[in-house]
Amino acid sequence: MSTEIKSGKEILDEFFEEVKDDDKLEKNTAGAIIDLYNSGKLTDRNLTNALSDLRDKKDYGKTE
Amino acid sequence: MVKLNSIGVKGLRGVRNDLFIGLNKRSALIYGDNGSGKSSIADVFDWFFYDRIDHLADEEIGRKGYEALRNVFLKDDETASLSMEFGNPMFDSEKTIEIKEGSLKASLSNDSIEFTEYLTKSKEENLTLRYKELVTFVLSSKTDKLRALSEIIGYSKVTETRDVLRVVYNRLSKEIKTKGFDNLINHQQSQIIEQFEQNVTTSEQFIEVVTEMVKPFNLGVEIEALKDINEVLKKIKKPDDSKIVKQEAFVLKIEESLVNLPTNLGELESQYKDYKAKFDAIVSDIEKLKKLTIDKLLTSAKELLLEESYTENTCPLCEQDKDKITLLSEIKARIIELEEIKKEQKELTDASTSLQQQIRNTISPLQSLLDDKLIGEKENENYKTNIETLVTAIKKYKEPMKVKVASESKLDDETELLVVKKPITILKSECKSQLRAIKISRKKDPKWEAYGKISTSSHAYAQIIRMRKEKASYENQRDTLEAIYRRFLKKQKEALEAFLDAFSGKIDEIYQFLNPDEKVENIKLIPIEKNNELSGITIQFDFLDNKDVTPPHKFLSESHINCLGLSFFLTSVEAFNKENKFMVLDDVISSFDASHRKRFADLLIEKYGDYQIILLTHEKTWFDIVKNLVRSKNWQIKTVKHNETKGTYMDESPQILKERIEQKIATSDESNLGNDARKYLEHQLKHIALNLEVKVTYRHNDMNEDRMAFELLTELKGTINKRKSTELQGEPIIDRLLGSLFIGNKDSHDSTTELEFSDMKAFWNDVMEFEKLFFCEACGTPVSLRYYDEGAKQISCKKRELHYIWKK
Repeated sequence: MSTEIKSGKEILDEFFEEVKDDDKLEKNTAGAIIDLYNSGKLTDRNLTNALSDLRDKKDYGKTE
Repeated sequence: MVKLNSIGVKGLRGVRNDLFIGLNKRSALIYGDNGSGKSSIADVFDWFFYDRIDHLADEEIGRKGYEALRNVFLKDDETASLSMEFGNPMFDSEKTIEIKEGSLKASLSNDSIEFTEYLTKSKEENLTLRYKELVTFVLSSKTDKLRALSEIIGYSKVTETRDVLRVVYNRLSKEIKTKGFDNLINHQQSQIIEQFEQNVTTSEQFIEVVTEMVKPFNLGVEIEALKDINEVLKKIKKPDDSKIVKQEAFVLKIEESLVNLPTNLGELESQYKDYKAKFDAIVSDIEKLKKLTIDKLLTSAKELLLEESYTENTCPLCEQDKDKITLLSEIKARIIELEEIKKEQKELTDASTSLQQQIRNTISPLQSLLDDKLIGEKENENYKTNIETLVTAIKKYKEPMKVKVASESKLDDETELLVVKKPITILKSECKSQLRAIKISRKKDPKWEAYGKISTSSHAYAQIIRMRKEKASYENQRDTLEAIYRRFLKKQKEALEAFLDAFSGKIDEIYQFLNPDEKVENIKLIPIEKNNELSGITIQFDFLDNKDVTPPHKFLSESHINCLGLSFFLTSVEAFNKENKFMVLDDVISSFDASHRKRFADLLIEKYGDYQIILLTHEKTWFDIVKNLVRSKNWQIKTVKHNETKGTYMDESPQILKERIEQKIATSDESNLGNDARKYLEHQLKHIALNLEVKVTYRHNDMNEDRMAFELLTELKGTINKRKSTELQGEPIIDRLLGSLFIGNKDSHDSTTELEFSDMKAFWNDVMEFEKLFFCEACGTPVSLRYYDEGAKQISCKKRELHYIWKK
């Protein structure tokens, strides 16, 4: 049975892997979420700050 | 997967001295009366693997239960410890807890990466189950079931991640609204139209208009990019213009600050209305809120009823007769009702936080004007007065939020707090007239007039570019977050459904094994959704001719509900334990009837034979049933006892005790060696006395176990003399042992006399020599009257290789 059931971590790993490979999503924002998840620091405060930092970047949005 | 080789406990829970359980990867059935401290074993497992003992944790003891972990008789400078040896020696570790600088500190001896990883993974697994935890899941609310399952499969991390995405998405959407980008862009565009008398939408167009405007002045500046316009402005500006330029910029700033003010005030009013409605709803039914005062009492009652020791079918408070399960479910229903009230309270707190944020956002641009140096200028006095009037009015919204719900006071009506808009109108009109006056004053000088138009439009255009970019950044992030969040919900739902399908099937299979032909079939865990989000889980099953009935406690007896709880636990073990192949079951069958007990034992043996099971029980009859079932399955059978001197202790099998003593001798470990050797001698003496019918003074059952080596040896010597066993009479070892410091009398039991390691080693050698005298080295059995040879008048071992004269 254990092979049929994914643990919470497996679900999350799989999900963020799918997000990483999705070209339709804005890369910087998706990247910020994935980076925080991978470093075990995905909290609302950290994500809000990361998005704010991104917006403050001079060249943010130019590549999009 | 990992199994256990041994567990050593010292100074933890009921265990005062060393308690050693040698397992060698085998399962163990451990019996102990109520109060013997057998649950200490489950507790120390929880401490080792989860670093907390939930059933001990409360406000007094602390959230980890540490305070109740150390044995109460332990001195402050003594260290309590738990040694775990595993099938994989890389994971062997000792966890200690001691008092350091006034507080309890725990530490692990093994800090290797391999062990740390193993422990981290084990933390996610289901390793222990107690009786009181059995029905927790089955009888919990739908929300709690989802929470409990989420915990078990690490799904709480999924829910937490979902919440993070949602919170940040909502925050971003709100921020975009508060920023009022469109209003600000429109305002700046109208500035450009006013100055240039035409709209400008591109940088090229902007440069074209400015170039045309400055052409008559022959400034000698080629405008190729927006940045060149600054050069133009510098050339036009006269040295004495700076004060007017600064004042103009300040007035423009006031105008900008007023653009979103009406919208923000509208939002403020709406949020206050929402906050007031929530506040009034709670105050209008204050009795409901007062119910929260019994929250602790109900929670304690629930805990008490879940205790195995509480077996009465009466309410512990009013003493009315009531079935325990019914009472428990009623209490749980009341706790759920309180949770609803707590939810209302939480919503009020959230509304308050949001309102405070809105107050800050609304005041912020006005405060920025009050912080500007120019506000202090005499000509700006009117601006200052009106801005301050607005700030004071907005700050009034803070007052009602200081009112406590418990005071049952009424909050101000929203109409009483409405910010009078007149100062805004005055400010707007004054800004307009001052800007107009500056514009008119410039008309006298074409260069100066051009300066004003270009300067104002440049600022406006720069603002438009900045805001468009900022708006696009925000919206991009919001849209991306929304897409990720939607996809996450889909993934979460699919994963949970797959999990519940597989999980339900296994629970049903185990339950059917425990309850064959009982017409409870097709047990399923069903997800419940609210507003497109998972809000809970319910248990459904077919009962007799009724399909999909729920909840379990309405249809099932206590024994059956416990079966469901057990099925749930064992399913979790199978599904999620990937590191460990062992589990600890502490008194889980207390409320089972005889047939369920037998089936449960069969289930463990037949379906979980490959697991190492530590099965603890205080039920003597069940212990005897399981003992017979597992004897041939290589299980260890042990008994836990308790007395005031030793605390919790265990009678070890002589073989394991012997191995442990020899291990201590090999490693020169003298701790408790003398006592261990004497215990071993006592055990062997009892065995010999039984086989040779050595008569001792009558004692009651329990006391019979306490016979000391000295008494048994003395009586054995007397019997040998009586039976004229000449070979044995001639052996000096018996007298040598009788004269040893290690035995003597009862007072010397657990003697603390300090002896040399060499003395203890010599004593052990004597014990071994004595053992050889009575136990056959070839067949391992003692000489016994069962193999008495009437002709030769000899006692012998089973194989008759060891024999002595024995006259009857």
